[in-house]
Amino acid sequence: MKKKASLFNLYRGSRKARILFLLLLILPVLVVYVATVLLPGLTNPFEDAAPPKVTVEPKDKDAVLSASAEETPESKEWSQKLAYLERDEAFWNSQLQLAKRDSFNLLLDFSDSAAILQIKGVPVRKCKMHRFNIGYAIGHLTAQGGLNQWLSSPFILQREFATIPKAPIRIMQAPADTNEANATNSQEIPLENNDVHFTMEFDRNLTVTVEQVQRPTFKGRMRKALYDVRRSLISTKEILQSLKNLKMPHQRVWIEIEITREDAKAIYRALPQKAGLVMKL
Amino acid sequence: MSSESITFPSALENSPKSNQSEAASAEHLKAEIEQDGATVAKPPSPFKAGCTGFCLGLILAAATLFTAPILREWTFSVLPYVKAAVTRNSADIGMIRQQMLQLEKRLSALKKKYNSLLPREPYLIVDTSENRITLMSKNKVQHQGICSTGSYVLLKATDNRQWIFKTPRGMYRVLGKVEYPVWRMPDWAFIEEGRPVPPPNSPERYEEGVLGQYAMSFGDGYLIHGTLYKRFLGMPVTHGCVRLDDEDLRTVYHAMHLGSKVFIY
Repeated sequence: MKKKASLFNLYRGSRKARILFLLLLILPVLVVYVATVLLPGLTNPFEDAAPPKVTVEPKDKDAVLSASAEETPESKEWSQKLAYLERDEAFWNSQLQLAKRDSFNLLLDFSDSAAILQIKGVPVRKCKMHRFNIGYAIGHLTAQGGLNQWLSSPFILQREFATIPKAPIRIMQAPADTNEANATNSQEIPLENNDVHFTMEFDRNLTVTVEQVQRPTFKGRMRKALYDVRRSLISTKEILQSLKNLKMPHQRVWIEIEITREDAKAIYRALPQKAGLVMKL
Repeated sequence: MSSESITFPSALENSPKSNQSEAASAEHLKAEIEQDGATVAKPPSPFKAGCTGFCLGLILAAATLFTAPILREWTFSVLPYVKAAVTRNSADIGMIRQQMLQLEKRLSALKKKYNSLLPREPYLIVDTSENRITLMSKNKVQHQGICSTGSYVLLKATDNRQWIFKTPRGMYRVLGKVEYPVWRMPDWAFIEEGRPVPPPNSPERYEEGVLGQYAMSFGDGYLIHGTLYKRFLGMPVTHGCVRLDDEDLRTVYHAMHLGSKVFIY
């Protein structure tokens, strides 16, 4: 009677072969996992982010410890209010810096679930965020006390990928005569109905992914799959580059927002290279 | 001779013999199989097993590498938060209040500074992706309408010249206001229609009435003007100018002054 072939039945006849097989199967995976997943997670993932800002220096270590021990609910509440105000200050600092820049920028207001496109700080389009996800790394940054400092200056766009072209350019050859020109003019103007998904990579390890709310078409799904593969390939290339230079790969702080296709298209097309981003968390 | 894949008999696996040397086990197996004249199964070679394992391991490692950002995110979700040292004496409410007062002062100064950068007089927002305009005043919507903006057509002439018909994006100011404007047709207007290009000052270049009743320039020859082709309003069909409907144009023209801001995105 034949036995079912499975990984566990492989090389059962020879223990040496089996051990060698399993060892060499697990070893590369383990090395890659430790180097690219575990170690970057355990070490400080915000190396590129500004160091945490210390607002008030403690008088001495003992005083701090005793104060923490004596912390009352009232003082905790005041501390929280202060932390909120500090975050607000970080946001307004960024906003002001962007308003002084002669460019487009994006404001992600999570407290109001809105993505706002701005030109020189003037809001020109307010888009409702139907859903948003913020990666776990933000929680770690908050716990490390570095969030306010991280938010206190605008993020600058470094790279972007999308399922639509940045400019919908159509090439037209000049007609030879008026008859040819009339024939060209009578052609219908193509309407753009492409699904819009895009990713923006900013400095200080921030990645913002924008997805459309509408269900994608079949063609849109295909395009999205290609775009996802392209993104993964680029991140893999970066990891390999880091490993080659004996550096720890960085975990990016990841934010995903969901807005309508029209809003996504308008934002993607409007944002230039080196666009700024501010966040209100 | 028939060939069939060989599996190890379960009896052999459970037998204490299987714990003895591999050579003996292989011999025993070989003898059993040779009786039927079937293909002889060689004992698994450790080298071959190692190579197979390593190849599979490399494939799995590549998959791990490919999905590393996702795996790292999962790792983050299970890792405990490493809290920074307490930098503030949280029990001292008086000190916190003092800090809060200072912060509030700084915040109101920042907000004031930011508000001073916002336009005080009416301004126009042109949305080129949806071909819509919004006239704003004091942060409130005064008027909304449809428009036509650049078609993004790249016109290539036979003499290697080319033009791209797109509306520029960014912040501009109204630099000029004209009533009953006359259009001076540039070269591309003739080339696009398949007509011969006349000399620069030819009267053939001047066309009245096609730009509507009003026009406002915002630099580099771009205008906000009216149109004869009202059926195209709401579509990207222009050569870079912003075309408005008559009513919208009148409202915008009267609300905007020289120097008023135009935001195009």
